[in-house]
Amino acid sequence: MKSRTVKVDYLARIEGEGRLYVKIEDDKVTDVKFGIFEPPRFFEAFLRGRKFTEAPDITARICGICPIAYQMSSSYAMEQACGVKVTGPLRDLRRLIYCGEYIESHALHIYLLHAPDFLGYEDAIRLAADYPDVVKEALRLKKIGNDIMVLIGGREIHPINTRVGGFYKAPTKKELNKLVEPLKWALEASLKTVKFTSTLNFPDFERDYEFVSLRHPDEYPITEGRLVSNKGIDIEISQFLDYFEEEHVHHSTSLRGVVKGRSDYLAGPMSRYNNNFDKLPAIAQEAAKEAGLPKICKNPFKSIIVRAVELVFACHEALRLIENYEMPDKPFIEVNPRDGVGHGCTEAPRGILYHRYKIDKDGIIKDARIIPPTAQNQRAMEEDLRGFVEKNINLPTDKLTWQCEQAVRNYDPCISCSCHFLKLQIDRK
Amino acid sequence: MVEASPIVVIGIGNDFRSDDAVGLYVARKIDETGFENVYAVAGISDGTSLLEHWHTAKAAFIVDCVISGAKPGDIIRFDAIREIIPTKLFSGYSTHAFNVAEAINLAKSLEQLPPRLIVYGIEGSNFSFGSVISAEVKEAASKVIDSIVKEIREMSG
Repeated sequence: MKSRTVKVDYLARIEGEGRLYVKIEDDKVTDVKFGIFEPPRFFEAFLRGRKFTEAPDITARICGICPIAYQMSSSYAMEQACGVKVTGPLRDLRRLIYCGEYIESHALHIYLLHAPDFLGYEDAIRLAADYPDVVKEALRLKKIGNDIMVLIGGREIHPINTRVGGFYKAPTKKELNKLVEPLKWALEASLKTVKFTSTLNFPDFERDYEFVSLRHPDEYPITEGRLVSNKGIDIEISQFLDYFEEEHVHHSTSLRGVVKGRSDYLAGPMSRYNNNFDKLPAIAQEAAKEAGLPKICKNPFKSIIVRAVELVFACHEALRLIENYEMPDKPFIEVNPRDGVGHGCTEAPRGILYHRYKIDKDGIIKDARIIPPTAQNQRAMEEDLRGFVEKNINLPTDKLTWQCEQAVRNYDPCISCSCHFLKLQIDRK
Repeated sequence: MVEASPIVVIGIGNDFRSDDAVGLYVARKIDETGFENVYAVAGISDGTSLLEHWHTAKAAFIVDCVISGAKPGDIIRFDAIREIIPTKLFSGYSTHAFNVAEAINLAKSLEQLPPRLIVYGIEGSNFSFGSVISAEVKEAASKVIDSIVKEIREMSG
């Protein structure tokens, strides 16, 4: 029997620690493992016994790239448990700070982590030597996202100004107006980014995914909406655990998400885009059309274009929110604890992030459940790898390994969040 | 009046991992000296933000804890404009973000290094959870503070 192994022990340019292993026997893929070996972090356990108001600050520590997602999902869950709904300018401010996180995270991933794959560079430093202006613009774009987070959140990493019920301090209109000119530049740079990403060479690969995302009747979803899929799911977020479950496999310290009774599903920019194209502002829809991106994109490598389209959305949305902003009388709504269960699900840059908490009448957390997007996408990543290697079985091992790593980076995985890095091994016999 | 280009002191580390906090400790101590036109940054989000911090600076100092196998408290000093910073020494705390050496290399490619860039590494020994810096590492921190203060005075001349 002829066999070979493709493996990467430590995949670079992703967050966290994991490995990839693909075994090929007689030109057939016989084993694929996306292994995560980062130790579990036990956040859910040590949230028990803490006050409900502490969840946003504690869970933000799960991730340095998307702390806002953790703060928002936990805040919404606690507010639901306590029967409070945050509306008006406070809701808009939450959406605005989340736009900052999208701009920062997507700019980083598109240019510094993913583009080197398409352009044949080992990393962004080597890319920067040949494309200094591109990288300079990327860093400027990323900084504008960070600036939004600093202005509203106090700092870009683990912001300190968000809380259950809203914010500790609301910015003035004048303060937010300082972001307008940089954001206008960022919007133009994002449109250029869509064009730039559309000129890259994409491997010919598609899969019949179940795209799972939020959907909101009035807006491109970030913080609120129903959970929907292209295969019939249309549920309240409180029904999440009725429709989705987590499975444990020996080679991963992160639990993997599946649709109950079905199989893997995809969370993230492609799902948001495919389920909500009609909710994108005209400028983002137009940019997607000009880039040749269909309304339903099934090629995961083209997620880099989708992220660029979402950059356009985030900059446009941030400008809209600032234009309409009126400083609230009070920066938060009082939230009084009561015995109950609350669910929160918001769209982190990498996909839906679900939180569920049970609290008692004094607001003490009795039980916590956190299901991050990368954990949900693990099985989809393995299925992508299986499908991609089967289709490209004749590629030389070094090229196959490169493209398998690229296939994982399509997800911008955040393994630290999921537990929870990456080793890739292709075993060819 | 045009503001003079500042001098930036950037401490890197984690307050909750014992000796790893030494860079932050040095930055805070420099901040307390109250030099005009010198600002200290205790902690950064990721390596690319280094480029933002030294963007308009005439000089930047970076202080980080290192593990090289040397004796705890040993100090190494690099002139990053003239020397190559060993990536292994200032290794990443994240595979998603840039470490100090990578950020310096990126800035070189982009021609965005400040005119003067000094990197101090202090050998650490204890990286377990905790907020106490080992005595020998703290002693080294005092020496690094004195050296940076001396260099700032010379530059401010």
